[in-house]
Amino acid sequence: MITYDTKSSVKLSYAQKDYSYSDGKSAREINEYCRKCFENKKENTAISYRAEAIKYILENARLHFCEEELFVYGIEYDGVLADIRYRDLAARACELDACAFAECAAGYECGAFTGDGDFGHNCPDYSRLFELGIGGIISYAEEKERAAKEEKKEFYRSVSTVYKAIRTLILRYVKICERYKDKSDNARLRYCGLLNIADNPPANIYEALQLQMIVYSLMTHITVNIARTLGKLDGLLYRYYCGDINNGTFSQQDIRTIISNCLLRYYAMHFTANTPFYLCGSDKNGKDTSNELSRIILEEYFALDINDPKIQIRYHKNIPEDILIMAVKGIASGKNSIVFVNDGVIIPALEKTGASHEDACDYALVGCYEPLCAGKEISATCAGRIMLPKAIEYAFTSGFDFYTGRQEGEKTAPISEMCDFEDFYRAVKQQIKYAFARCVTAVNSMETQFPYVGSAPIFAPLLDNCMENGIEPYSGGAKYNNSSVNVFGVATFADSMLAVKRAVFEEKRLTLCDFYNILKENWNASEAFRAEILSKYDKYGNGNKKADFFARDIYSYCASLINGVPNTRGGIFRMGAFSIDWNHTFGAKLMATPDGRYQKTPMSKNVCASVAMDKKGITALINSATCIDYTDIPNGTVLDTMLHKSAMTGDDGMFSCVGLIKTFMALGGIGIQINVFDPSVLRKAQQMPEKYSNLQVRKCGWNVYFNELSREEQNEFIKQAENL
Amino acid sequence: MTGIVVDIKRFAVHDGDGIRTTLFLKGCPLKCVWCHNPESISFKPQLSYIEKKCIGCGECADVCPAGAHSISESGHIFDRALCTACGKCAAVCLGEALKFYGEKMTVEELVPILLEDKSFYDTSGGGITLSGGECLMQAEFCAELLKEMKERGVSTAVDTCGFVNRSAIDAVFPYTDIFLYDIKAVDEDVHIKCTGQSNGIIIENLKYIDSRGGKIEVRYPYVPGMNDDQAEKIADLLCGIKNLVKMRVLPYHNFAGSKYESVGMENTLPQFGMPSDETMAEVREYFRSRGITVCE
Repeated sequence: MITYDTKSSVKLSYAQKDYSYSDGKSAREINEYCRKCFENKKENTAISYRAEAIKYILENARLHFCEEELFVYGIEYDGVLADIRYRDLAARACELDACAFAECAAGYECGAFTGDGDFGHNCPDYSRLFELGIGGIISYAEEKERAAKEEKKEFYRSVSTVYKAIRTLILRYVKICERYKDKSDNARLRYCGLLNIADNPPANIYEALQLQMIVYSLMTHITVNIARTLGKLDGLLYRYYCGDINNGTFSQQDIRTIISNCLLRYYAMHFTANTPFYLCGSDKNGKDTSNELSRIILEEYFALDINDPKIQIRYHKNIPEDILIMAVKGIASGKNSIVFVNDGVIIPALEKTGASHEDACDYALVGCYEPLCAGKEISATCAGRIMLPKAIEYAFTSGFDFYTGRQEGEKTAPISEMCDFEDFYRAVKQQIKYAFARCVTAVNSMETQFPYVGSAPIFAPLLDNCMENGIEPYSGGAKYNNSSVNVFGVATFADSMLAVKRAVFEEKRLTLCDFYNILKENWNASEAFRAEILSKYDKYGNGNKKADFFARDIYSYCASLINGVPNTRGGIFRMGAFSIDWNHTFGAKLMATPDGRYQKTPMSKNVCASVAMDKKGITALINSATCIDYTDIPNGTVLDTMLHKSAMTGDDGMFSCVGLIKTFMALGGIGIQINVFDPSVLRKAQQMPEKYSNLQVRKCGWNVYFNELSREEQNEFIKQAENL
Repeated sequence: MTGIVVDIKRFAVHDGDGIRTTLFLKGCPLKCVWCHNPESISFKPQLSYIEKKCIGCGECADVCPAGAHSISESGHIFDRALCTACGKCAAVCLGEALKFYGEKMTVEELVPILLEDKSFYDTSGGGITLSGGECLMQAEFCAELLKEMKERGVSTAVDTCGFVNRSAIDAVFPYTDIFLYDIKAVDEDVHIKCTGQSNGIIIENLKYIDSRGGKIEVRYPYVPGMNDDQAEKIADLLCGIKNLVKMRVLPYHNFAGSKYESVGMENTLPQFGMPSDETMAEVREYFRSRGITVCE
């Protein structure tokens, strides 16, 4: 019988990694070797020496091992390959076009836009990994190498080199595990499983999960072509589940225990921003794809009471009611990092980017909630950003940046010459257009260098078309090679536009120049006006058509600007609308805004209302948020909602919450997170953190412990909860 | 036709099935000592003032025709004795410290507001609930509003204490999908102690609705030290109600204290503890043992 690892021991073992079981080199030695390797091999292309470095790491680095744990992974390593890649990327980009490269830094400084290289946010094709196994991938790469033209041979060789090294790594683990193989059923399973997957495709659910853990972790941890999802876990594992039950390999309880141990192991690894996976969804015929495993995974996850991995649920109109209820019950208990996303919107959104219907239907969610075609697309979900409220600042200043003291926007007409609101709005849109042009320059300056520094030999065989055509993932080798730009701060934007329209142009109580002076002075001596705007002006988030207009209109404008613009990798730019925690970091670079916000304070988050400005409750907030056409936002976003604990009590509360999700989806929302809070509990947790060490809140797309937040962020949560 | 409105609460999840919007109307014939909505008892308009929210802007003093508001060195002074509850100050208050209860609203004004969440009603099996105060004290208004909502395909509920004329029930009956009906006590002396009124009419009206085939959800506010000895007799009564869909036992809480203060009323909340979750579970279990469907 397979037994449970206990939560505390797994967490502890991972916090204090034990490398004493293995021979090998320390992280410092690995670091030195890799740097030397890259220095002395200037004449080589990046592909081969990157493969050599990975090989060296997998063959030599010390391995973490814990006798009690069912799953193995853990390499002593300090991230040197990512450092080298970024160093070389920056150096090349700077050398080839210093002006374009300078835009990257300029964007970060002023915050109006950013453009960068995003190697994270990938979804490898795990089904292909399971089908071929390590040995199968090696043979495939060798076969392709033999048949390939000379210039492509190196690419295939790098894949076989690296996968052979993965085999060596697994065999190093096998050697350690062999010593314990007779001690327990767990130890036996571990040893036999590893031995099999060193070469062969996984034969059961344990082996599939173990192989996935190794490849996921290597991509994420060693090569930093970060895999930001474990994929559709209920789908990927289902055939193993059925097979194992049918042929008597495992009992259902064994399978539950294996899943539970696996989830716990990811939890202990503590990858930044959590390890996500998704469940359910519809297939290309609109048929529901959930199964028994969807339910088992949810049950085991909730029983563990952990905040990581996080789960995305692909909602569609045929999703079974009991799965929604199960998820909502978990949410009601306050321990969740579940996000619901809408097939009904995401599939058409991906189709608009040029994805086939079949590929769009098989979409994955990477990172927090960013859709892409699973195993077929690089979407670079965080390549670029545009901060909407900055365009308002620049419309006031003719592009002069308040924060850096430099001209960063376009030199639009001075406000003294603007006659009507349309003039002002036009200037705002011009500023957005200008910021996007700079964003594209910056993203392109990085992405044109990807072929030289972005070699991804672990990822390549798990991404459609790369092996078939012999092209690296980051050199345009994927079926879809896109780049994403996130447009954020929408509520602050909409509320500010409405305030300018009403105060300056409708009520004519002050001029644009007067308003600018007030903002420049950070509302100093204009507190009554500020209070009036805060309490009496219409705001996005209350189902008010006047305020919502600006949210819908600006996203439709940005979609026309961004979606479909070619990038340098043979794909296109595509829009996203999430802010993660940039509403704080970029808010610190923003002048006071006409909605009453003070300078350098946070702006609105994702597609939420500004904090405490959604005064009519969650239904009105949803009515507002769903006014946006999300089929124009293929890179996704989410509506963060909060419910008071009392709204979730009893069957009424639970069914109402299910109703809330269904309505959100029917109205065309793209993604929703529901957080349940009692403000008094949050306040107590702030005062007595030791007593609330397990209290989770959702920071962005991922969950964190409340105690780990800054005081400012804690206060923001409390303020939101008090607004319920 | 106009009604006197206290408040409109959206995403009400415990006022009937599904997601609902609850309209609270002003004025109540009972004086329940535990009342959680003291601002809804009087038929007259009232002004609520929450001092800690005041930002001292002085807008109220500028518009008050009675001189009830003034701004001095020490801040905002509100003299409730002078206040005529005209509501002008609440409309201009920038800190949202002043709130006006008792706005007169027409059916035409209310219909679009109550329809804002129609998509939520439709997916969750919800609708609108008229509550109060005692909404049936404005029965004709309720009837007209309910009729309009029914015509637009919205499910309707009426939350009543039952202490109303039969004609009020007749007025709303055709447009009401379910009555949420309070039973506070069966023993008359207990009822008088709790609410100031006898319960004869209430029990008669309950039976009357039942006899006409109206669907009923009974609510028993469970207040320790006041009516916690009534469970058995209430169960006896409910066993005779054919159209009882379910019942709900509502635990007393004393969170409403600050509301009394804000509208300048004497706080009558009983100083008993709130019933524990275990006690509530036992009471609910008792009703279940009597064959009654009880919601959590």
